[in-house]
Amino acid sequence: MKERTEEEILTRAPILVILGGKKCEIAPLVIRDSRIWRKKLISLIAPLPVLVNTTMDTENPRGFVDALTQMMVTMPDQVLDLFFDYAKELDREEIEGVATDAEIAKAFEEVVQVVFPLAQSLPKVLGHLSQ
Amino acid sequence: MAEWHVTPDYIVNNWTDELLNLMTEKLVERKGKERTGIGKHKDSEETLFARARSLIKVVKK
Repeated sequence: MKERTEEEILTRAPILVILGGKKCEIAPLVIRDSRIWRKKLISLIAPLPVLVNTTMDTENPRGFVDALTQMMVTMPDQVLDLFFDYAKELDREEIEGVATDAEIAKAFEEVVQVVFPLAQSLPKVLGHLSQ
Repeated sequence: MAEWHVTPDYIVNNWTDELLNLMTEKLVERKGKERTGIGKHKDSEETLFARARSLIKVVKK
């Protein structure tokens, strides 16, 4: 995944993604709006460890099926909802008809990279502070 | 915020997360340079006075 340049960040350049083989642009959200979106993402991924543990519990076949369904069926749909909740300017109906799951996953990753920049730069900042 | 001369409200409503992050990184970098710069170029008082003398222009009236 390509790291965004300082110029792109300063000019709030759109996030470029490929969906259905076509280049699409997503405007990065300002802090106020992305904060709300981040909370939605966290609430989506927070139950993941529990689900993973449940799939490893061989004593509970019903729980295994439920957890697997949640991870393999429900969650990808929720990820899709979340993606289009961020990329409001994209035509969901059109894109769902042409884009592959892999493209959506990659585009989602690009959005997450913009929403969680601290994850990349925190080690750099701490490095400077400790000098 | 005082460093950038903008209010927190302005930042929240106009900046993106990555812009805030970049600005913070640059601020930390600049502060680091300022700190190490002072240590490296520590002049004696005489040198400082000599440098200051050359910067002052005395105009006779």
